[in-house]
Amino acid sequence: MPVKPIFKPSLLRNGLGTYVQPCHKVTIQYCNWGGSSKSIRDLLSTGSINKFASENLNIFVEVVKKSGHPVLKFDYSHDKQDSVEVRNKTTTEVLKLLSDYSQRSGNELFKYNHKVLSNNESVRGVWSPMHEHKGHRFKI
Amino acid sequence: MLSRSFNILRGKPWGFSLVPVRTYQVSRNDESLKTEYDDITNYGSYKNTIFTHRLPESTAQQSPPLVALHFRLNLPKTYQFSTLSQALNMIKYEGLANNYGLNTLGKTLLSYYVSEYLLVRYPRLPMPIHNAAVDSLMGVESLYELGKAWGIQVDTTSKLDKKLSLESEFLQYGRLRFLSDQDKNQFTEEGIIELNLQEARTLNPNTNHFISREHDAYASAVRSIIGGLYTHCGETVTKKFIDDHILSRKLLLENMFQFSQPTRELARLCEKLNFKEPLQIRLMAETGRLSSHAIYVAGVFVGTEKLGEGVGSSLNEAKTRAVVNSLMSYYLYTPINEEGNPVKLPSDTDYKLEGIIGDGDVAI
Repeated sequence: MPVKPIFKPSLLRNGLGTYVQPCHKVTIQYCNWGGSSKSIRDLLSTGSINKFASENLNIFVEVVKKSGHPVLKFDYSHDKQDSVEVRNKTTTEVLKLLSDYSQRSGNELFKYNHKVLSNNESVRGVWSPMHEHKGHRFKI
Repeated sequence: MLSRSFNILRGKPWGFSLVPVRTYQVSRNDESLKTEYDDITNYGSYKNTIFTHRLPESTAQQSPPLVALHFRLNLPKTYQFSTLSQALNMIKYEGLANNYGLNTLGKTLLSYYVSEYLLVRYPRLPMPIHNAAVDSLMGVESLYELGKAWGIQVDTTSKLDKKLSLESEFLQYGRLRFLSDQDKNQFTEEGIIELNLQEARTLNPNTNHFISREHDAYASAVRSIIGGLYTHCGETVTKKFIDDHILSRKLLLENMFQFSQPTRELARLCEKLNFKEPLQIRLMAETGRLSSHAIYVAGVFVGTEKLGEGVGSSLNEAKTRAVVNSLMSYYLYTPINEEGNPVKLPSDTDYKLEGIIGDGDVAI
């Protein structure tokens, strides 16, 4: 056998051919009695949660009634999860958190201190002093 | 009975011996299908009387995860929710139609489009690399990852748990069903994996790698969704879907080569291509030969044509890198048409052969 294969799995590039939203489920947990859940109760009674669900048909929205402070839980692809506690938040703040977190990828946020983050090799390549014209080369 | 008679023949009264017993593979009917027939030799009269039905569309529409998956994948309206639910069902015995047929259909479509793409876009790829590339695009592991990225969830609660927690019955129709109730209730210890027979068959003893049932189920669900797309929406839509989800993945072809004797292979290749002038590897530039960090640039030439070059910290390294680079630039060649675009595939409209057909592998 002249050449042997080394198996490398292909990499998913979400958004290149098509985009599949990573967030697939939102769980809204609230308490029917506690004061910290007031805004969620307002959102439910005014139909804002229904509106959010009908605008985001690709997300499964679940409403759970449970005593304690209200929590928004988000399920992303590859079994990633995130949750935000929304006690005493206003309705606008809750709606903003809902739309922000449902648009995230579920990956942890991190600071990347380089210019480019890519799977692809540089097109131009690294500059090489050895490929300069012979007359201009630095001589050691 | 058989082994005892063997023992008597060999005159061993103690009942146990290590003499291999010859057994025969006898084909048996799958009893779960409840096959009935008029006469055992009348194969035309064989009929499976197992009761299976498709999920009613009205029931499937009420499953929130199923509807969400349908919209997330941007499937056309003609794609029925009940088919999508069937694509996620691998269980044979519980009365609902499973995804066996859809899986076969999806697998066939996938392998056609993937191999067509690789053969036309990379006509000179050696056979082993081609096979690895097909596996890399549509193997179980890649499709499992795709299924995970689509947000498909496994149905892990047993019937009893569903009853006790008052879970809506519609939820399960949008989840991947491959575990029996017995498997769901099985206690699992963290860090210990128990392989079943099917998984043990796929175990590679050298790498300890095996295809788990979960991975297999995810892959089959992805294939079945593609199969369902073909049944409802036809070939063009399916081709677009495969292009978008499978062929858009990044294939790490340049990392998949392992050369055992690159220089020999390149020499054989040049022989095969009938190059008039001899193959030469020349030193193009160097610096710091007497220092601890020498750098050499070697080039592979045929006459005045440069096939490739490589940089290394020793003469040998530079030479090998140059040879490997020139082999790669041959094998990873992609034809383009007159406008500079990638050439058309046979399944495209107005196809005519613009690229090349590979000459086959070289033997060392």
